[in-house]
Amino acid sequence: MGEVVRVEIPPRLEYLALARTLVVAAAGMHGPWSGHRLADFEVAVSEACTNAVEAHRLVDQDGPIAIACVSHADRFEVSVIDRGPGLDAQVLRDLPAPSGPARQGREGGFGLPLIRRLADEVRFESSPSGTAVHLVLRRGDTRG
Amino acid sequence: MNLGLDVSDRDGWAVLAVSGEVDVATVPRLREELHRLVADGKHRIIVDLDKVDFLDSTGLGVLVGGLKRVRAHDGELVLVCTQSRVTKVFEVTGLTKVFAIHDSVDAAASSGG
Repeated sequence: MGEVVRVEIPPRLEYLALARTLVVAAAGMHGPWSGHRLADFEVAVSEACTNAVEAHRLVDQDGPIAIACVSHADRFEVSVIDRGPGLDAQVLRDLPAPSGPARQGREGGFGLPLIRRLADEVRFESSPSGTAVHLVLRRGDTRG
Repeated sequence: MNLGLDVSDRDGWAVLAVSGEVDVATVPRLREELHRLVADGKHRIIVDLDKVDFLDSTGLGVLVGGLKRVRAHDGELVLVCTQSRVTKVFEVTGLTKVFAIHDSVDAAASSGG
């Protein structure tokens, strides 16, 4: 495992831009990445942080959200760890396609599809005491 | 938090030029501006996203909501964006099928909606 950068942010929306900036800077130290891939990854990380803030709000949890960045030989991985009520595994399995008929005209529900499409890999670990979302940016991946 | 909003008129369209970062923290201002335009009778709206550095899912949601509002008045809401980092979020969510996206305000204003 490479060097770990770990930060904690208060569970408030005004800290999301700071979290994005920190993650992009940490990834930039362990590049190179093409500009658009890092931009895509930034959106995925921001969506995960937004979900974490919302999860804390649901249970009035004032504790911090942890964001850990680890550079590996084959990937850069960001973990967003909250202390919310946990994700519903059934909801994750049944998530409709972002452009499918179930989403026509919907104003919300784009966050998880963006995470899944804009990170190279995503893993969710969830329990009643919180959720960790692991987002991976693979080296050498040429996906646009 | 960095979000700029500027409204002007062009050939019968209201042009809402957005700059900076559109995320869950800043998006309420964008939503309020779109609601205000519609309430003022502006039902043909161009949202210029060319100076937007970041757009998240909540920004997409507010734009979808704006489109629904103007269409309720037989109006139209079209977008201007040439930045791949922003157009990508429309592509991966399938919203390129919902919104007309133009390369410039001139092109949008002459599109007829």
